[in-house]
Amino acid sequence: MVSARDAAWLQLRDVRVRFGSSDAEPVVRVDELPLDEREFLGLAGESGAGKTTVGLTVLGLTRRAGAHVRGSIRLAGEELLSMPERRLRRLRGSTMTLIPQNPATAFNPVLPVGVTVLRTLRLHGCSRAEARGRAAAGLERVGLSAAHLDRHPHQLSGGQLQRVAIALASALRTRLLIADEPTSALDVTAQAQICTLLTQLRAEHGTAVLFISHDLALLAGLCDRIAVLHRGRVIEDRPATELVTAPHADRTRQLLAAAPRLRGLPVPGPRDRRGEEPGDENREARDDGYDEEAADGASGP
Amino acid sequence: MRARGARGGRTALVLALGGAGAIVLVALLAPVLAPYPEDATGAAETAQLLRPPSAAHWFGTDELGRDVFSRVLYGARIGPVVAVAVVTVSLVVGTVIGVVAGYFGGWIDELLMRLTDVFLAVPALLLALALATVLAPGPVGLTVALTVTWWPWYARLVRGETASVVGRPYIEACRALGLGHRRTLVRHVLPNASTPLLVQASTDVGGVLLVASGLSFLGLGPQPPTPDWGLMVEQSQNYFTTHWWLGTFPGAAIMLVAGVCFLLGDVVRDRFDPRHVPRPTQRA
Amino acid sequence: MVLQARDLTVVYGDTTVVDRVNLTLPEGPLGLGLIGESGSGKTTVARCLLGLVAPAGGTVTFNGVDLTAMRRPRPYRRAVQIVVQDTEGALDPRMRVGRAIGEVLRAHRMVARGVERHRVTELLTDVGLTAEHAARYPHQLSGGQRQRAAIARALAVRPRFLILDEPTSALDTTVQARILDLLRRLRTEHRLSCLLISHDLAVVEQLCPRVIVMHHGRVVEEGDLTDVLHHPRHPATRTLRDAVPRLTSSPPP
Repeated sequence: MVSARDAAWLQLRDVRVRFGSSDAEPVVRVDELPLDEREFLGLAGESGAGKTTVGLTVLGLTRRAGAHVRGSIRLAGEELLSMPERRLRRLRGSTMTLIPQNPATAFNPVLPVGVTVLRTLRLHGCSRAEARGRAAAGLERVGLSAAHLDRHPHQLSGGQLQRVAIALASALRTRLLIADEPTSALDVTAQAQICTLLTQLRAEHGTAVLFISHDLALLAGLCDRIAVLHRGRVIEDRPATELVTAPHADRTRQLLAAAPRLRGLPVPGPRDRRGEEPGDENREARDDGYDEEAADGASGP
Repeated sequence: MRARGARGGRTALVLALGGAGAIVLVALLAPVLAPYPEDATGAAETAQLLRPPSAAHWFGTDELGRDVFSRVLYGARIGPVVAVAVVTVSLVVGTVIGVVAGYFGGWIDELLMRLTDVFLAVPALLLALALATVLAPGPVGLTVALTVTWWPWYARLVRGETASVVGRPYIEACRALGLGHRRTLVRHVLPNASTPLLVQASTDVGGVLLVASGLSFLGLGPQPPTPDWGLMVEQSQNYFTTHWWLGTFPGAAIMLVAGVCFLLGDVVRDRFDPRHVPRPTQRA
Repeated sequence: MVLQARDLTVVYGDTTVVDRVNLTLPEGPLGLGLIGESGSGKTTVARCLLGLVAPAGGTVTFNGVDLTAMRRPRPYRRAVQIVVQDTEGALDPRMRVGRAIGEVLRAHRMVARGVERHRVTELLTDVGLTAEHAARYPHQLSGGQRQRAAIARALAVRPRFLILDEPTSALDTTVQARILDLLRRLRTEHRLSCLLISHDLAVVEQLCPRVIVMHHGRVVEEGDLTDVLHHPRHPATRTLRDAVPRLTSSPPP
């Protein structure tokens, strides 16, 4: 699996992202991170590990925020980092889309969500009628109806808003979806729903998903592969099942120990039981000082 | 970006504080600084009528032969003082009414806000004009007239801020923690609700000075021979085309002081919020 | 001591957000979970228990005395404390953490004047912070640290009941696990009776042997967590249980 990675559909190589000056300590130093079409890649790590920065860099959004980016990010053979902003803008939204963490602030509060959705579709070359048809079909697929297009963001729940975002991605036939903790503001039921929808999206359009989360249990149930990020580096990148049943890195073990899960639940598959071992034996591993909290740190929004 | 902001902030801070300090010093030391202190109110010097600026009279002399420079320096004791007094009194009255209305809500809020609306319903300048006409003309009358028109704005602003602060979890936490109303109001609501007000107030000093000078200009403020800037501009009207220095220097003083106040308002806004303390921001 | 809600009903506009809820919190150490989806009325119940929302019907009693009829609420205020989800909003942004805690100590005359500082340090240490953190403003702390500070402030009055309203939902899993460890330790050490409100059964399981399930404002199920997990009687409970991610690699059903 690892050998064919040079030809991966999306390939990050020697990516360094620095904020401030060009000789600052890089916030992200990813030597290699491939993603194939139809693949679900989980990007795990604690707050401050650089997960969001990786996602935004792929979309070309960190450069605009004043970051210094070096290295190479190739999507279907095309280099994204040297691509002119105008072409990149056309790719964003159609070929690759972001589903942000906070749905409540991701939509323009004074417009009905439908306006945002239809405008985006029109922007990417749909005729008016086509946009409406695609939006309606997309909404139906996520369990909403065209009537929801007339609502304002505050009239929809967080879960519904995220579903609208997924419907839009589906209507745009997005190839690469970057989901930045799309469920951390939602309750578990809404979270499960979103995960199901993302899986459906892949089945329908062959969409690849980069799913960013701090919750390994969530990633394990959703992703083919999980890469664990720590202080900007990929410290472990393996198939999801392997990673959660036999983690290599200490940090992975700690994340695993912290992952919330039901210990007293019935129906434990054989995998489940194995999955619990590392967690239990590493329960104490959490208590190695509180520096991680400090790192998540002063970084409030 | 942050570095440039901080540097820019420092320049503004130095300018604003330096300017404000200079104005205070001039006001305090006017008798020492003025070359002809007796001219501030003093009698006519018929030998020196309407002289243009010279080494002896930097800003020239007026129609009664008084030194304009000395009078402008003394003017710092009138207009700016009126402005500061108006803003300070309005601030206290407005804050008390606004905080009480916003914190307790209900009928107290209704009563206080309707009262405020009564004052806001009349155009501010008209009300000030009317009051200044009725009250004895002079700095005190001017201060009272302007204060009456000014506080309702503060009351509104503070009430709105208070209402939004009261909804925050930390104010609710005060209740849950069993802190009394007074402590909650003074320690938590007031500091959080008053920041925008302080910014507003420091900018307003300049605005009030302009309005006060305007009223003086209309003859509703201090009366001659008081060396008030607005009044001096008014008295220069007849001579403006022929003797430019009479109106220009007091006018420039008004502009300068107002400008310093606006700058100070900006500085206060930038500095006052503890959340503006520079901190490392790195999103995951 | 006992905190009790009887037929608690809360109405906002024409929606009944809490519908005849009964709940009893005896003295601790104990953990009771209150679970349900967003909008099921859990938080409103908590706010009623703290007297922050006046119920439209039913009563909240503390040791048998109705909250609304309470003439001297101070002992009750001291006994019942809350820790909320919003770590940024829970602390006054203009007050250093140490002062915020000291203020509570003073208001309740919990310590003599001279030793207030010492007590603040003690409280901070108890929740895994240090004396240094007392001098910080809330925005200078991380989410986890802020939550610790909020817990320290709640403990300052030596409460018997601690209401935890989604205390870890805004934190990432590593920090969440540490905060839950801390709460578990504090519950035993301070003999606290904890009401943990959450939508996540995996979180509730860490602290609560018993749970109450709410759905659309009503209590639909109540019992030992293990029973509820194994034999959920209400579909809402089953949904909540099945929504918890398992550590498996199979996609969700």
